[in-house]
Amino acid sequence: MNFPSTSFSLLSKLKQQDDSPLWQASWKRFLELYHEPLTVVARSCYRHHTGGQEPSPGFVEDAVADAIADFFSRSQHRYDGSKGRLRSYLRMITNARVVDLLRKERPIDHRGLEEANLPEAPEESDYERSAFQRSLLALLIEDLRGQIPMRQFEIFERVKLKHESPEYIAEDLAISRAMVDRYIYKAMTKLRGLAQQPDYQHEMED
Amino acid sequence: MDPLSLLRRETSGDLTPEEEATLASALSAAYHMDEAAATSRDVQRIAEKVRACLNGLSEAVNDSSAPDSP
Repeated sequence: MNFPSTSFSLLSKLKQQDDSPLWQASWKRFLELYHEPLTVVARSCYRHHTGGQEPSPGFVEDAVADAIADFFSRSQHRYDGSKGRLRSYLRMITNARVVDLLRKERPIDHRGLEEANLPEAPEESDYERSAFQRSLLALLIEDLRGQIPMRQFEIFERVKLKHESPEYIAEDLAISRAMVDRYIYKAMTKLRGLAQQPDYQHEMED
Repeated sequence: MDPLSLLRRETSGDLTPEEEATLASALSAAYHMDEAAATSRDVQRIAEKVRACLNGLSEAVNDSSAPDSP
C-alpha cells in the first residue's frame, strides 16, 4: 500500500478497516488531533438544535466518539477532498451524530424528523475555526518532525514550541548561538514549505 | 491575524514582529494541545467509546454477512 506523504493525507485517506496496529494507531491519532474542534462542533450543534441549552459532558463525548467511529468505519469512503474541506465534512458528520443522540435522548421533542431531513449545522464560529486551525498546525508540526533531522527538530521544539531561550539551548548543547538560529531558520523554512502543500492549502482556505 | 496564512507567506522576512509573535504563539498552542491530548483522561474516555462503537459496527457487519443458521 502506498501511503500519501503527509500525515494529513494519511489520516484522511486511510481507508482499510482491518484492526491492524497501523489502523488502530490512525484513528487514535486522529482523535488526539481532532477531539478539540469536534467537541466544539458537538456543543455548538446541541445548542443550535435545542434552543440554546447546554449539553452534558457525557453527551458531547458520545457525539465525538460516534463521529470518529463513523468517519473511520464508513464515512471516509464517502469523503471526497475535491468537493470540500475535511473540516466541513467532519462538521456534517458530527452534526448528524448529535441529531441521532438527541432523537434517542428526546424522542418526543424530535419526533417527525426523518433521516432525510437532517437539520443543518449552525454556521461555523470563530471559536470552531480556531480549534480546527490548532489541529492543522499540530499536524504540520508532526509532519515537520518526520521530515527534518532529529537534532534540528529538537532545537526548533525547545525554542519555538517550549519557549526555552536560544542562549540556554546553545550552552546546553555546546553549540554556538548562531548555530541555534540556523537550525530554527531551516526548520521554519521547511514548515512553510509543508504549509504550501495542496492538502494543507485546501484546508486552510477560507 | 490568521496564523496559517502567516505561515504560507513566502519568506519569514515578510512578517512584522507582531505577526512573528502571533505565529509563534499559535504554533506553541497547537503543540501543547497535542501534547495534552496524548495523556488526557477525557480523550482516553472518548477513545474507549470509539473502540466500543467500532467493535459494535464490526460485529454488526459480521452478523449480517454470516449465513443463516438452519
